[in-house]
Amino acid sequence: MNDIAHWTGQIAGTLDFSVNQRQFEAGPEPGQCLRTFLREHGWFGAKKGCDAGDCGACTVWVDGTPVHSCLIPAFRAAGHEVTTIEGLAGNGELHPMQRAFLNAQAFQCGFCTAGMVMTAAALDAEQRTDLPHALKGNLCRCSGYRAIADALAGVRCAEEDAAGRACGANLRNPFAEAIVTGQARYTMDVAIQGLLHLKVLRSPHAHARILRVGRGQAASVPGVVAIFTWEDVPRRLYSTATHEDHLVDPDDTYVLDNVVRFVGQRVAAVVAETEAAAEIASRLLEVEYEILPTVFDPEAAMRPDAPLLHDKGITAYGNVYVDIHGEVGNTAQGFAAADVVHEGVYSTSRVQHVHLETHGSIAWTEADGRVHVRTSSQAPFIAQQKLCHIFGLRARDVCSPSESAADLAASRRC
Amino acid sequence: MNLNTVTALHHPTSAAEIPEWRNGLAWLAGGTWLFSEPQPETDTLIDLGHVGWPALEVSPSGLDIGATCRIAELYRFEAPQEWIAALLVRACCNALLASFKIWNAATVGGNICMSLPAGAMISLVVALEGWCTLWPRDGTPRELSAIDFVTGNHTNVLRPGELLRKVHLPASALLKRTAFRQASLTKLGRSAALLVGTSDPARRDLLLTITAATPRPAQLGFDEIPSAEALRQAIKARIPADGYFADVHGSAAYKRHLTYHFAEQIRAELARPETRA
Repeated sequence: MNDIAHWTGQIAGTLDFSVNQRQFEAGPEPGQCLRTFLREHGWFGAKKGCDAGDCGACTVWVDGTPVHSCLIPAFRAAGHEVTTIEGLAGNGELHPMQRAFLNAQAFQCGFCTAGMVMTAAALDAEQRTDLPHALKGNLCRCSGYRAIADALAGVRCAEEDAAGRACGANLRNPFAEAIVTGQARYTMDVAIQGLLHLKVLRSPHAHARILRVGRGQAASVPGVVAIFTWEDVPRRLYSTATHEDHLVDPDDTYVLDNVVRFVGQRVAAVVAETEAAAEIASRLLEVEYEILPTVFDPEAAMRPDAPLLHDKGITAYGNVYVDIHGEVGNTAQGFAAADVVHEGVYSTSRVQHVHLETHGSIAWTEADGRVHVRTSSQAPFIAQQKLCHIFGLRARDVCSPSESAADLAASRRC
Repeated sequence: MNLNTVTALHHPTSAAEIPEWRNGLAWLAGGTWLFSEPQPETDTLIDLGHVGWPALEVSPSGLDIGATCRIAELYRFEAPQEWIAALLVRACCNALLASFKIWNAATVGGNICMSLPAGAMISLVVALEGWCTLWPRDGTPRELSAIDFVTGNHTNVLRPGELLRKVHLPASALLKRTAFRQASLTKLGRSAALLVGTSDPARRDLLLTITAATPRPAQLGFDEIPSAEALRQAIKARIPADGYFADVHGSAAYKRHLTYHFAEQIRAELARPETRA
């Protein structure tokens, strides 16, 4: 296997890069994509949405050609001019497309905006005639496509914030300028010295009991700092729902559990000096599972003989947590008096909004002992309460300065 | 995304510089699939960026498309005027689910080697009667018809380490009249059916290529434009009722319906006398 090192042309040392007209030398990892490489060097305007080439939030230009930087090997950008959203404005003047997005206020949270502007600014006249096709590689999850089409059409809807006339006016998002220039700092848009990374091993089984987690091989991966399984975390139930009143949701979750109840449930966590080490080590954990019976259909799950998923004493019966019935007025009387009665059973499923900004948190402890958590959430105070509950901390010792796309969308702190 | 298991990278100027193949190696062309999901089995990338294969070569015998030709380059190809079938190039590029930004990196060969049912570059080279040149790891290059390259959903004839070098589209196919039909379950989505008909203006024959609706391309040749009934029977004989590809982009029944619907439209379009604009 070692003889491959003798093949010609292997990258050695560093390569010459030019990003936003700044020249520097660097040696990207062999499997590194351009997106993480740019962010590593301080250009946080290349966002991580899907990291798989579909959402376009990471769009940058290579020699003026728009590409998804999550799919471009970093080494391929060497010797070419890379332009990110931060480099689009020249000499203090916004690019016309940045100006157009400002005028049309073509964003809410702004997480897609960097990629959207970098794409829109690269469209030719023919592409502009068919925006759904030209922008199919850019997702906006605040449903702002109409406003984006407005921007491309040169519509101006933002009004001046003039004293005495601001009430009821279409004012600009207070973060607008930062959003269109890639300067808005979302949860992960910070560089922190000595940052450790956590990767989670997920369950391949729909229902299983964890009998043993062998850590030997994983622990020996260079850079691994800690490994957590259900045995290493507080055995305290909580709900992952974020309601102000925690009593309205079932406390059915452990930080890490010894029973997995769906494919993809977290089994163990590895903390390491690099994301790569954490990822590789998490794959080397040896987990022994006792496979348990499964049920995949909600109606089957309500039958008396269905496999029981939770045995935490919190359910009304079987797998049912609570029955909720309600009426307004007297429905029996209403039906009796009705000329026509239509009966039907209607059901709906849960819907995930699939927000573009990824879930993620960065936590650190300050010199005064307070735990600081920077997290992508609209519910920072509830997150603080949950952390206090789970880890037995006092509220004054946990600070949750949320700086997420959701928060920017809500623009609460203007 | 970062491929964290990849620890080595090579930039050969010719494929022959890679002496032997083993598990863990991967040829890197555009990288748009490789970098789109974790590749835990891959530890070494072999960059095809320096092998210097010509993207597009026009000759009297036809068009050679190098496997490393970017889809964006193919889209911009300006064909000789008499190659009226070259209209299919843009139609097939536009049928891809991928954004034009992906075309700037993704290669024609990569799309073919992915061998997904909806791979529109496969539809293109099969409909235009392409011939693939393959470079095995040992031995001499081999050639086979594009229709035989894809063997099923995400499978093909490539042996470990073998490269698709180029696809030759014969001029005789590029001179034909064409009819193109494509549909997706969602607007601008992945193709549920992509059918192409070609017809030699002199012979008035029909070559019908069915892709996306089936796990691998199916092709039906007729010496003359068949009747609607004869076409239906021929499709039925070639593709059994359970021979359609079902996935989240469309049920088998939907794709079967589109196949018959579009096939008839194509037949009718090519049965009409050629009209010159």
